[in-house]
Amino acid sequence: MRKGYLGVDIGSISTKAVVVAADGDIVASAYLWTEGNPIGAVKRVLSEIEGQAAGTDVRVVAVGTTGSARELIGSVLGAQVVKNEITAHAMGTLSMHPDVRTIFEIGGQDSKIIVLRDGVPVDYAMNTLCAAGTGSFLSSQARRLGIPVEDFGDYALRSTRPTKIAGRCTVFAESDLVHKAQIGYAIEDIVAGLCNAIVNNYLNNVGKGKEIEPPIVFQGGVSKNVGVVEAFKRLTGHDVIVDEVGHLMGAVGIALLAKSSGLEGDFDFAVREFEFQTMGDECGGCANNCEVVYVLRDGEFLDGWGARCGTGIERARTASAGR
Amino acid sequence: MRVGLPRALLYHKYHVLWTTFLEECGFTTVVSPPTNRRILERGVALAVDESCLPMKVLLGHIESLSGRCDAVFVPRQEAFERGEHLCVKFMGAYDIVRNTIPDLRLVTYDVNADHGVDERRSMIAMARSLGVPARVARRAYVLAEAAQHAHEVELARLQQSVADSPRSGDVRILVVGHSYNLADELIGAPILGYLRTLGAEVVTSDEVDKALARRTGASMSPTMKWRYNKELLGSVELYRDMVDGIVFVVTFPCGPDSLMAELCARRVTGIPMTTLVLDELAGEAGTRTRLESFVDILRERRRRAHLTVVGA
Repeated sequence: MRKGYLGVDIGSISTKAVVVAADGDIVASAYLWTEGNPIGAVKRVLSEIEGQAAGTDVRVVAVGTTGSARELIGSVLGAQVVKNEITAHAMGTLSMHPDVRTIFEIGGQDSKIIVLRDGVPVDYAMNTLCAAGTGSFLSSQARRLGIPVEDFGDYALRSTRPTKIAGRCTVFAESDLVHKAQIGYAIEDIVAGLCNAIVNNYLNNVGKGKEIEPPIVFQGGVSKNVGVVEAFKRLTGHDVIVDEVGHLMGAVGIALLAKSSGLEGDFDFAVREFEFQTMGDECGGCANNCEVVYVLRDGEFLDGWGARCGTGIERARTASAGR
Repeated sequence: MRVGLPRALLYHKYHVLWTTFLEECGFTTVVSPPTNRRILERGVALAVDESCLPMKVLLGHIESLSGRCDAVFVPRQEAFERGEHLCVKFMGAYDIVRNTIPDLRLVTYDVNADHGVDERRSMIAMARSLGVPARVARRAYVLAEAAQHAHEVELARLQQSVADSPRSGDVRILVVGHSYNLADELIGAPILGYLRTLGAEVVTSDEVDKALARRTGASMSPTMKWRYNKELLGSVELYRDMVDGIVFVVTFPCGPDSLMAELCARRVTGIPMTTLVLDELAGEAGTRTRLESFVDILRERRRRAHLTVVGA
């Protein structure tokens, strides 16, 4: 029996899970849409993983969670390690590309850059308040142009003369886009312009002031868009590696972090048989009136977040006991 | 007479001067509570949309004082030295408050070096207009000024003690931001608290010799107009060799702060920096992700530096 480590990366758009064996071998992996229901997505992803792992000699001894729903899912799965996605992505990528010096990541709502030197992350940046130039921006523009987002990259590659589009802000980009279409630009040139705009926006915003050196690995949902990949190559002047399993890097990284934590615990795939229910409440204990979110397992209080002090969580615990 | 002090904006810088002066003049001071959600919500409702977050916080605090005191204290500060500027909100605070909550009685004093209006004369004149004898007011200012000076000496001493002491945590982080943001219960306190729960040692840009910091800041950017941004800029230069990383706390949509963070990103190299932009909608999740990964990176860098030293 080999020891295995379950890594789950629950992003705003997609949920990824892997089981990494002690020797680094990925014995199971799954990827599906979160659909606004992280707990449901994790249950589905676990049933896929269980099926794949069943035929192996690997037994899960530790769990790690990352991504924006890491705390909630960390409680649901009784995870040993709960870590932010930047650290997880860096660790996962390093396991496959030990010489990587720059990681570009553009996901559903976030974009980030991680700078690594000698196998160690030394600097990073993340987009600030707004989601301009991320996956959700691309899919809304694709919808506006009436082409499936999956075909976006191919359209861009067919363009010979990309048009200029302001990529700074979704609102401006959208009015630019409509204007260019109305004055007669070909849809391919508009799409290619949009890909350039995303990359320019990324390099001038998230990538500003960072030393972008090859090897560069590009990850996140947007890395599946060949138009954006080509724009990155052209504008950085370097080759850009897009890994076949790039979407799993966060999950692999958090599985490896779970392994290196040395912590172990019982994990049973039967966790998905439980009924999990999340509840939101306003505490009402003081003028802050914190919004407390908590999760119940088969009707019993499991964990809660969002309170600035202990009162909110205690109230949630009491409220759920009386339910 | 009870004078209300809103726990906002320059209160966090001058509370010693102000409370000492008012109390020595014979007034009772009432300070609004630390910012809470309700204060912020009321401030957001009272302010025009384009106001910055600290101005919204101020209006919330002012309203919370109404009924609890006889007058609310809102000074108008434009320039302490000739040719130097403060952000327009310090210039406009009094008038904005007066027009937003017209029924409230306010007391104020002006500081504007360009027009020869200095703090001492102005504060004494304010007290005189409230019926305080000239002798009492003059003495109150001397005591208040001395107390404020002692307070600032203490802050400068904290800077020196950081320089002299070995690190208490494994990473030491400088958090740069205006005192009205860093000291605010709702804006800065959760950030400083979270960094500490991550095990980092935190020093703030407030713990600095302000006059030295202004001179240092002015030499980094001779055209930096704003007095308090010079102090912040100077704190970056004075601390950069003593910390592992720098976090800028900026409230939306602060022009001077974004200029300063940008200037540091270009001029101050070799040290990791991150900027947190906060507004009244900011959720805590995004902030935590950024801070946690920032601390992870600082730890990795230190570990690597340590390994290099051991290997050499």
